[in-house]
Amino acid sequence: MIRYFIGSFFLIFLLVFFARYGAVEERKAGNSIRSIKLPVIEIEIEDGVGKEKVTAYCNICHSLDYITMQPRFSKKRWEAIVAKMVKVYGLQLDDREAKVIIDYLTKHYGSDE
Amino acid sequence: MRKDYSRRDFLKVAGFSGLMAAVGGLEGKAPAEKGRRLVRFPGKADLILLTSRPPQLETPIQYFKELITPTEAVFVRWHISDVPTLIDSNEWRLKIGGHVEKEVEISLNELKMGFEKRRFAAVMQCSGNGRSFFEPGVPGGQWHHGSMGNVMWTGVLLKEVLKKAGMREGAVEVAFDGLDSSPLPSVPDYIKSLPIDKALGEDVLIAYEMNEEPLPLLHGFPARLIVPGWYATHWVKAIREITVLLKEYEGFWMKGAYRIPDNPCACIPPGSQPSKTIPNTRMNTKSLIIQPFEKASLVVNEGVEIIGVAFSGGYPIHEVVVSTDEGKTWKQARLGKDLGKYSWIQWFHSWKPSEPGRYAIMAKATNSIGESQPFESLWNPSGYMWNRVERREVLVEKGKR
Repeated sequence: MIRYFIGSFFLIFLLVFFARYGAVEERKAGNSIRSIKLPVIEIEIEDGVGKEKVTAYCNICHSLDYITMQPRFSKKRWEAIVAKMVKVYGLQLDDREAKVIIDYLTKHYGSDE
Repeated sequence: MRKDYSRRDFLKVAGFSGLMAAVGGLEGKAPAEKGRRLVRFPGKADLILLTSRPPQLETPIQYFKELITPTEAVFVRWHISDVPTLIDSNEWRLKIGGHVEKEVEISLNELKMGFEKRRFAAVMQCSGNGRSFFEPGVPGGQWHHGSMGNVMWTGVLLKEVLKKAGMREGAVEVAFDGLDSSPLPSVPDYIKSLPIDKALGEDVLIAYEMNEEPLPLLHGFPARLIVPGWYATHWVKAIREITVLLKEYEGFWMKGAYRIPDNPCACIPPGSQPSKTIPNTRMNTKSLIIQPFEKASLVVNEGVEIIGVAFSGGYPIHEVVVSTDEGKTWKQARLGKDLGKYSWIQWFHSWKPSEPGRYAIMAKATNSIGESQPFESLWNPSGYMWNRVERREVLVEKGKR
């Protein structure tokens, strides 16, 4: 009985401990395998026409903080960036979709110039 | 169980700034943290989030008060999103092939036991460190000052490893590929190359330890390339294959990215396009004021220690001069412990402002071959090599009764 209690307390302790300090690299002694679990960090982008397309396409290769951290670019600059995703990285996008994405980026993360 | 270094270090930093606030009136949040989100990745301290996938994490400036940057605080930057998250070091092999006498595969144990061990401190700095200060702004990771760190690396010389395979006549470059891979087949794999002279030169390492511990996965376990004096774009992580080439490597990460204008300042008029570019290689000279922080409040007639770091691409720092009057007069800073030409050096300048008011503190480093820092911003379209002389504004107030 007492063993059971000690066991439960230990389990609770472990759960609390790993919830608090769990983000370390797994590296067991005598074990050659190392592993980590990367956190998934959701980035909320602004609501508006094109949000779904931006979320779907841009997320294929990178998290959306790639968009939100950029300086406020002109439409011309966002066009060049989207063109690079197609030409250099091989994103499959038709012209209509590209336009929706560029308009969204310019409106929500761009400038008027 | 591994010690939770990040928490310890957070407390240390918090305690240190508290102490400084008490003795020197140096409170004031590090500018790098304003409006930026802190995140904790496995084995890392709370770092500034640029992007999570692939991870790009920046070091808060407080950590640069230390001569050697703690591993858990060192910045993280991967290029393509399939980052290695599970590696069995018993299975790992480093392949050396291409234009060689015989292809070889080296295990981690052979790497550690079969070659002479080298250990030295070297600054690892992203080419885009300081990109967020460019005007007009340029696309890319919007780093402030924190995509750099001074780390003690342990490894073996690349040229000794290449010798195992025996290079044949006519080799021009050596290419390096890591275990990271692309989320789409069309995304170019992250492969970098070095000219043959550099690859066979002194001090280029295949490192398996940082700060005397095995490399964490996020820093390239089990082994990575160290090209001291050169920007970290070349320091391929989780290295798996080395290929000796008869011609220059043509892949995107050499021919389409990490290139600078081909002129002495690597700069062009803001907003323009360069006519000719070359790969971004050796780091320029740089100094950073660590303390006081931007907008810190100081007290008249109370001594303040201005501290910073300075480094250059493989040449010792000859001097650092400091101005507390916006560049009108300059005084030599005292230099700290010398850990060699690839390390940064700490510098110190004691200052006792005698009048209240706003002050601009500036610092300028010069290396042993006379390379220094510009006073004006030098612009290039990718936001590389930022090294303008810094200007820190502080407020000196009358003493409080």
